[in-house]
Amino acid sequence: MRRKIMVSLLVIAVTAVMVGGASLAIFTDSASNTGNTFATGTVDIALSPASALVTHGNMAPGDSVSGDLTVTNSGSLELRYAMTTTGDDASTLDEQLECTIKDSSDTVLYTGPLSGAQLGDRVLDSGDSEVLTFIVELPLDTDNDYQGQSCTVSFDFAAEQTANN
Amino acid sequence: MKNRILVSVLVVTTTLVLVGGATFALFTDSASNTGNSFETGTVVITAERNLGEAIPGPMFYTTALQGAPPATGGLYPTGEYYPGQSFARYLNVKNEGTLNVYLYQVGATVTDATPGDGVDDTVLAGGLNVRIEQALSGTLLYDGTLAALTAGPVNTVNLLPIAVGGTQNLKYTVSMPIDAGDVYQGKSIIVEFVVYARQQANI
Repeated sequence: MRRKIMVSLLVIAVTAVMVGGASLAIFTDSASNTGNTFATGTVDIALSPASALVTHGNMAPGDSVSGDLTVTNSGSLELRYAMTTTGDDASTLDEQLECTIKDSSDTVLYTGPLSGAQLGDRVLDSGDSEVLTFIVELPLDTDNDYQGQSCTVSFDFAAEQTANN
Repeated sequence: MKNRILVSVLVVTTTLVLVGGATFALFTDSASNTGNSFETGTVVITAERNLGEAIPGPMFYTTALQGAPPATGGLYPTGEYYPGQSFARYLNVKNEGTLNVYLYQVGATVTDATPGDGVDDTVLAGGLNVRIEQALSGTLLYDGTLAALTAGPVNTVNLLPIAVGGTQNLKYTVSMPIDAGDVYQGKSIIVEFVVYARQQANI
């Protein structure tokens, strides 16, 4: 009797496993739309030269140096950029030096201490570039405190897409 | 006396043998129910882009030439995507089988359009949102990332019925969230959008 019950239980168990394991095999079909392409644009700002735009050694009050910086939108999207300056924490010379930035039509965009040189919100379309002239001068009335000093600064450009912004 | 008994036994025995050996010959007849035929129906769907353009062809394409036919290029290129950009296109799904169906799943496959350049462009699937709905009523089928759609097929939010010979016009909106991020710059992918139908009956 016990054996018959065991066999029955085994049959029930095996059947349950088979039913539970079977996947639904109803009628189905699918259709596709192929070849959809999506490409994202780029925001890419390039500077030329990439470094040492304006340098001057052995400066005396009244000395100045100028350099032309070409800013290019080398991405595919129109961009808007701004510039700030990272000064030299180890020196005060960068606060004494005067910086003037002009655009290609001689409009003054900034004039003031080199350490605070900045530009706001200039727009460049994809592929376009503009030339900015940087003039750095040690004012004639610079006193002896600034003898034998040196500093290094970097001009930092940040760009973002203009679309939806 | 013994003789009579013997004969009786013999007669009885013989009778028993005769009865035991005879075949049954009841009245019988047979009849058939013929012509029981079974035929299965079909679940067949087709899908074509539906913006008044030549078919077949992709719904979404960056440049006109990628949207061919015609050979001169598709009518509605999207141009490049960037954060905040969004386009809607339409897909007409037709029931060409013999059974009524439901659209019950959607999916997609994504491949790198520039393989072998060492950059995996398929990450863009995580930066694009896809919304699939019935064009007229807005009945929602799917709203989520393209990446999640490729992990599918994904069960649709609602079942969309298509009767035999009928069509459903689906609206696909692909957008890039405004906060997508620079990781998606300069990526290029090829996408296949898939819709799945099943029989309506009995489920």
